[in-house]
Amino acid sequence: MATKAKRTPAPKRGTAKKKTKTARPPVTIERRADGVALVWFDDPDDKVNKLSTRILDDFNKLMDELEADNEIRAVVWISRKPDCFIAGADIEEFKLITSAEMGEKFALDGHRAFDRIERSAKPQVAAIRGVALGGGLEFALACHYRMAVRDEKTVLGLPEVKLGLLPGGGGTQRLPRLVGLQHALDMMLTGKNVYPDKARKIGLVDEVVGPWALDEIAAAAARRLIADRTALTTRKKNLAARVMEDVGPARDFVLKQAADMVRDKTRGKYPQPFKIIECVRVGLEKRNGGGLRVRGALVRRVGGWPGVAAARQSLFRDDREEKTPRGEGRGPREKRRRARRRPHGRGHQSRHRARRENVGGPQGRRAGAAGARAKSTSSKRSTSGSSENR
Amino acid sequence: MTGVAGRRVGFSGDQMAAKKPAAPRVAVIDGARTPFLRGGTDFNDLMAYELGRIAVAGLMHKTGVDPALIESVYFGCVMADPSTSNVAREITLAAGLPKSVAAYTISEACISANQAVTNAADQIRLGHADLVVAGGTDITSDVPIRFSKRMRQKFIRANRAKGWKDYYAIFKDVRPADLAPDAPGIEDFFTRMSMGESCDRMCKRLGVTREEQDEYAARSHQLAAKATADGVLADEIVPVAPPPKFKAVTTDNGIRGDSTKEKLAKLPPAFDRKYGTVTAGNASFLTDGAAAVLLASEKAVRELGLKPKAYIRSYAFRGTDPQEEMLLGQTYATPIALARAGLKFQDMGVLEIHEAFAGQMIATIKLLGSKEFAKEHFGMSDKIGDVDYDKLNLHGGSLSLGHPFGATGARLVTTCANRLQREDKNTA
Repeated sequence: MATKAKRTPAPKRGTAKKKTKTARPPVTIERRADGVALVWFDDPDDKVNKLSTRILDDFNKLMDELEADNEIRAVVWISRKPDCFIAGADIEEFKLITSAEMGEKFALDGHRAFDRIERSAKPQVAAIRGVALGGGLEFALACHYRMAVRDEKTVLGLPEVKLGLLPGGGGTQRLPRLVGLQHALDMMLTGKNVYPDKARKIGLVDEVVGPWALDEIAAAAARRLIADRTALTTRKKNLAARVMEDVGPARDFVLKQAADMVRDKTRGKYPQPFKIIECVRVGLEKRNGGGLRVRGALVRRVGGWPGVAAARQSLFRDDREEKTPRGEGRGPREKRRRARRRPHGRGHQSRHRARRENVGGPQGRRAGAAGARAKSTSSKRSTSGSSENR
Repeated sequence: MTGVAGRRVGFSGDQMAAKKPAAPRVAVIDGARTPFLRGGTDFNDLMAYELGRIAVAGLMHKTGVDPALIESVYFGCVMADPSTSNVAREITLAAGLPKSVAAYTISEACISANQAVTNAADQIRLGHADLVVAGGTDITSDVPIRFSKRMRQKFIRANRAKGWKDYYAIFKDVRPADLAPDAPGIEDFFTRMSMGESCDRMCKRLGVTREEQDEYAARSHQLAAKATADGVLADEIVPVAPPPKFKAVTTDNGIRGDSTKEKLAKLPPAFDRKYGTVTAGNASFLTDGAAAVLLASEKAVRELGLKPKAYIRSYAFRGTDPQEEMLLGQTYATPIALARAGLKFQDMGVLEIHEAFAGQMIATIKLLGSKEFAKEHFGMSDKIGDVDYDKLNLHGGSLSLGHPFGATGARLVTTCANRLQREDKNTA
């Protein structure tokens, strides 16, 4: 295949999959003469790329092809869509997940796919231009090297918690290893956006690059990795991080602090943040796969929790979440439903309580509530594209 | 420096009458420049105004025009020394021109001297002046390195201090970091990108390869070396005898005639060290130098019996997007200048384009020859024109001769005028 700079290369037809409705497959492989294979995402049926079951089903075949070809010595994952790397899992498909078993299977399929990337002997580079959120970022986390483009559209994050979910593709395991416990909890428990320069600073990406000829740049990085695997950057922990992550009691203290903070802000109404913390804890303790299995089990447990159906619904009206009073993060329909079912239910009580506290309650609680509210508006602002980080 | 290199000065030869009869013509009598030296070499001990003085004095000597007749002096300068902030005026006085001469300094990045020349031409067209000197000067060996903002504020407050107690109060919290100097970088204030980074970014966007750049840079150096050896450049150079040794410098010292594509290919990228294609070899270097041009009205030409080398026919300047189009000003300005002159690109007999970077030149050549570019930006049905290498920068360019930011425009005008005469061409 051509090695010359191509800014808008024509899609290569028929190299990867033929199962799709349209002529153009969502994933195509471009083999370069320098031993780097570019795997292009470009969903022909959508404005964004998503990790759908369609992609996951074919993923093993794709990896087989990449692994078997001895000409290919490194792989670059890249998107043809200028605004989107991978926007995340296909949440429309979540509607179809009706049982805990289905949920677990979906999650474990994802894990297996990401694990294959991570364990590959060939260097795997994620070239991120545009949004890489949720499953999209987790995909990138499984790669060996991540580069992000410094432009208006590129943003990274694990916003699952805002949708009433957990980062389901290994984010709870790989993120703390990469950016450290503190940043990882911050990202996962708030679901906030991280912009390229900040991402570079905390170690979420290895490199920030300019917007043009990303394929050439990523291929150059991949060639460097072929020549020298040690070119991979490894996180240097500072003393505080080392103590926080590697010393049992210190770690437990940090996690407990995080849990307390979450409880304070959510008033304990959401199970997901605590599950995230639990996954991180187990992951750090076991270091190896333990957390993923726990996560699978937790998915089952969370799946069985009655609130999940509602949480899943709230997925599809995420924008309203920010507008609810006091940042409680509950959609209006959910509130109505609960109110109908339990006229004096917790929803009402907590609202009264909150109001009381806002008037005359202890200073700390007030500050906490105000803080949560502020956080929710500020995260809203950053979602809509403005960039304090830049 | 910060900026958009935009340049396109159209000339018509002596014999070719302008199609639009109305505007009076502006004659380019002659140009002169100091040798262009790499920063930190023989001009190390000079100031920008001294180089400018030498260029102007040399120009006066060369043209034989009585300095008392000069009415205005406009000079471009980018790395301005704060002690000679209106360097044009210092040059005027130092070169022995009348004290009544009005002088101002222009800072418009790499096109400062072009702006000086066209402003002068406008003054002549308006009938405000008959003889004007325009040029530019820059010394990169000596740039204003400042104290940090915090320290500057302290010094300014200290001006008003009364007694040691005040001084103590002001300076007691000085930290070592405050003493770190603040050196000006050749970067754009708006985008915080250096010119080299901008060029790298543009090369990636337009698919300009390292090989193309190195090949072009080698060409520039080889042509410049040949022009120097043939004595062609000596026409425009005024020798300088700089302190401390006062040994005459007569030639440019940045030209590497032995440059080849292969040698240049070995250099590491200078800006984007990992993925960049711009190297020290295919970019213009920091240069000390000055250049000046004498412009005259037709009345002055008649009365003084001057022999113009060229006439300024039209010009255009154009700002571009500092993120993506930095360094491409000349590309955008070319069709405008051509339209104003009623000429086509193919009509040009001589082409001189400023070479800030080889990558920028390749990009310019690509875009000028691109139908899509002409259509998208100018609604033209055809491309602006293919650049003929047999007409382009035949005596080297800024890549090889050097690029004193403020002065380059005047050198280009001088070279254009000389080439029109020597090659017996009509338009440039």
